Amino acid sequence: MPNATPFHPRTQALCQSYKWKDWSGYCAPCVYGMSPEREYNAIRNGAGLLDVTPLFKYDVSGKDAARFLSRVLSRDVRALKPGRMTYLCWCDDHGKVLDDGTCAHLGDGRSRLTAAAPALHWLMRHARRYDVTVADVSDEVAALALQGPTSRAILRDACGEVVDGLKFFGVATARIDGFEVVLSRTGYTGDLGYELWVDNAHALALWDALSAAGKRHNLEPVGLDALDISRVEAGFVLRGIDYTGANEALIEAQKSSPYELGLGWTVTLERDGEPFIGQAALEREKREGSAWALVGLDVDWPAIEALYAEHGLPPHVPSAAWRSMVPVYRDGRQVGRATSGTWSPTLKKNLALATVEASVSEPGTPLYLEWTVEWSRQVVPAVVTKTPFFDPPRKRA
Amino acid sequence: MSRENTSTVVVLGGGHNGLTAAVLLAKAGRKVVVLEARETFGGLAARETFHPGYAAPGLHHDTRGVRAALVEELGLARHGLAFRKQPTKIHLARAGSEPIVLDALHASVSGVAQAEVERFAQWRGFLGRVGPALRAALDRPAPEPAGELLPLLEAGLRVRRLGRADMLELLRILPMCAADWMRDALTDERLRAGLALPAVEGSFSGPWSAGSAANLLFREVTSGNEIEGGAAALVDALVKAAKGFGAELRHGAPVRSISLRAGRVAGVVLESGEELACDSVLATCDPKQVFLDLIGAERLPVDLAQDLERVRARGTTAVVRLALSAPLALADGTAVEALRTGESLDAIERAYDAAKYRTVASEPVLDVRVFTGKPHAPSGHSVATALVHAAAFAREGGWDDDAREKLGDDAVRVLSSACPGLEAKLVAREVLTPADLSRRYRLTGGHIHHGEHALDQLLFMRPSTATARYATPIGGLFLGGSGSHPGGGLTCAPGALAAKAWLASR
Repeated sequence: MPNATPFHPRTQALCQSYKWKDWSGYCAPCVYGMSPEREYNAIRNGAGLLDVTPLFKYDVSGKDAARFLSRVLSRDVRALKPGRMTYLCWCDDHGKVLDDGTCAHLGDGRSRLTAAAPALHWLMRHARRYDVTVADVSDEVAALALQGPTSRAILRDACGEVVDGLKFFGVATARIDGFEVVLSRTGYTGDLGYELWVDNAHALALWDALSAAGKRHNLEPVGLDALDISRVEAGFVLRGIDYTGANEALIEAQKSSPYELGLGWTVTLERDGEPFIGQAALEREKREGSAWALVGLDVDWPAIEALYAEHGLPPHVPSAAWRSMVPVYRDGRQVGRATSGTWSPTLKKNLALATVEASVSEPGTPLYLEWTVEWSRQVVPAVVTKTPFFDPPRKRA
Repeated sequence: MSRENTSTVVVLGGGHNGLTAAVLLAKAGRKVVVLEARETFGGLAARETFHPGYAAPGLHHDTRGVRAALVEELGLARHGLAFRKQPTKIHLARAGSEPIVLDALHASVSGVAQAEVERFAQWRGFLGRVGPALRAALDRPAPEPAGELLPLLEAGLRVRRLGRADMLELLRILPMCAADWMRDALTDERLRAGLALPAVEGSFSGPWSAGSAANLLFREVTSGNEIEGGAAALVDALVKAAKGFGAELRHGAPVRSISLRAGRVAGVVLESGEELACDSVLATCDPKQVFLDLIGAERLPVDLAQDLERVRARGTTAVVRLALSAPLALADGTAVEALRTGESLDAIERAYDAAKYRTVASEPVLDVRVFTGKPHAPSGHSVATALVHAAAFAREGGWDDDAREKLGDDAVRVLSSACPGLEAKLVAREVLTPADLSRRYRLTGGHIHHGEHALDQLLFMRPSTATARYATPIGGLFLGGSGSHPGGGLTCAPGALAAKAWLASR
């Protein structure tokens, strides 16, 4: 039985669709209304409020916290200053990604790691050699994502000018109605946005404060379906969908390295002191090249129209993002698979994220994507495209 | 880094395995530097003056395991090494009656009933038949683990050639405890205990522990002639042979760390701060020390670090050395060269129980070797070295002077009951607790075999599956000490097999 998050009394009252899904053991709304379009448009044109409590959260403190995290994570976080957060991944001995997440330096030598999957065992396995305390605060800290162009105005109304100084990937502590909330200028939508971290006890008060402030700024509660559309537009990979965590892979072929996932930029190979877990393997891969690459695909719309026309149908795409494995071809040979995709309401394009052989990963490379219409498997042209597909200047503002 | 430097093999540890490896590598024309932390070479086999005028030729006193074929290959005869023609007589002391006398090769026994002599001969006969096949497995790199245990045994031990009865007997014995095996084979409890004692040395087990039979079996089948002059004579010959082939032997050169670059050996850093660049290290100190202390778990692949952390090396053996003004003698005045106490299997088990529960046996069991006269002691005087079972390295409350002296007092009392008048002859004594052994000889857990001889820590699992064939996942790093197959004690075998593995890798 999934648990309710601390926001459940509010989300349940608002969720008219009764569409919920299990997210890491919590029930989470897929969509509040009948279709995710309205919620998606809130994210891109107003602001969306999303319960992200089910993320796994670990607080790491102690003398060796930064050293320990830099041993476990593929990114060297020893230079991460208080009040900064960074995106990263972590790997096994063989340089295969276990999970991706964020690490925030909260000050006083305390860091908070977020993860898509449980990581406590992996962290504890290495922690005993360091002077650190690893606390699983997943069930103690509630979290909200406030995403969209008006999110800054909402937050400023709710917690004051502390918001003004908060740069992209900055972290700050604010007070709302007497309780403390940690703000980070981060998100999973590729838009201007914030994530808010608060003790469970103050979760509802936070929701209410943001909802009240949001009334003047087109705030909507949004579910996971709308998030999924925006994260594909933003080119963000999702563990379990676009890649398999190395600890859950059944065979070697299901594992991926950071380079193969387009996360090579988060890997710090050049560093002093202890190597991170998987470093030797990643140095080798960096030197010798990767087998696979994660790319964006811009799927040819007229070709899809034509396929539907053959059956006497108007073109149709689902209103939500899809996440099934679909073969990708070049010259009749399968060269990879698309793992998730969506119709982009903002870009008016049919987009997909795909893992393809490195030799066909250059932007502009023409490929073919399997497309099924009326139980008939066809292919449609798709061009390799740089991600993020959607990258507005306000994302970094 | 010059080319000359990188072609050097740095051997860590100047014990008998380190020296063996150095001889073979230097003989093959390689540039070898041996780094020994202490001021003398030989490690646990080193001659040590523990009281002015009294020197013990090695803390390990059992030289039966030194492989004759290796002695030949190393050319040690040219450097004065000789095997004893007459094996040492080992007295199994027992209260109130004649001692049993066993020769050091366990080939003959006296002082027991004729029927027991025949049973003993039958037991020896079995060992004689399975010996060659087992020796073949123990004197080469352990077979790769593959598939089921039985095919592995068949391939590795060539047991099919033994005939069905011996093969089944061998398979029956391997997982047994030494006590059950001894009780199957023999009826004299004193003889059973005397034969079983060496098998529990340094193995965190008693005769009633599963797997102790394998330990006993492997020891018995690899026993050969002893070395004249004891362990120190082996060290002397190895040092001369190594120098003769041009190996550089450095003593007083403790190593602080092994440096890695991109997952490979880049050099070693001495405690003095001196750095030696090299791309090959053959480490004969204990494997936990090599990986967890000299490299550091934080620098290792995760699984490798975990495997090495899991290696059990809980010292249970202490050492007491006695300087005596006369030979060690039994009540009837018979001088003894070697003596084992422990009247029964249960007595050994009880002594082990103490270590199991992190204490020290108040009735320890002693395996004693005596060296009389020059060059060990003044004429007419003697030196006795006792391996004392059992004392926990991790003694509850820690080790202090009182605990050390109590251990020494108990050992002397136990020995006195077999050798009355001992106290009157006592000139001096030295007591080395497992904690002392750990400090003085740099042994993790004070373990004299660099890791317990347990069924799961032998053969292709010694010290771990990824490091069992001398090469390790760290490029250029080889293991070649007692922590590697075929294990601890004076054998020269791990050092030789490691040197050969290194040469084969080039």
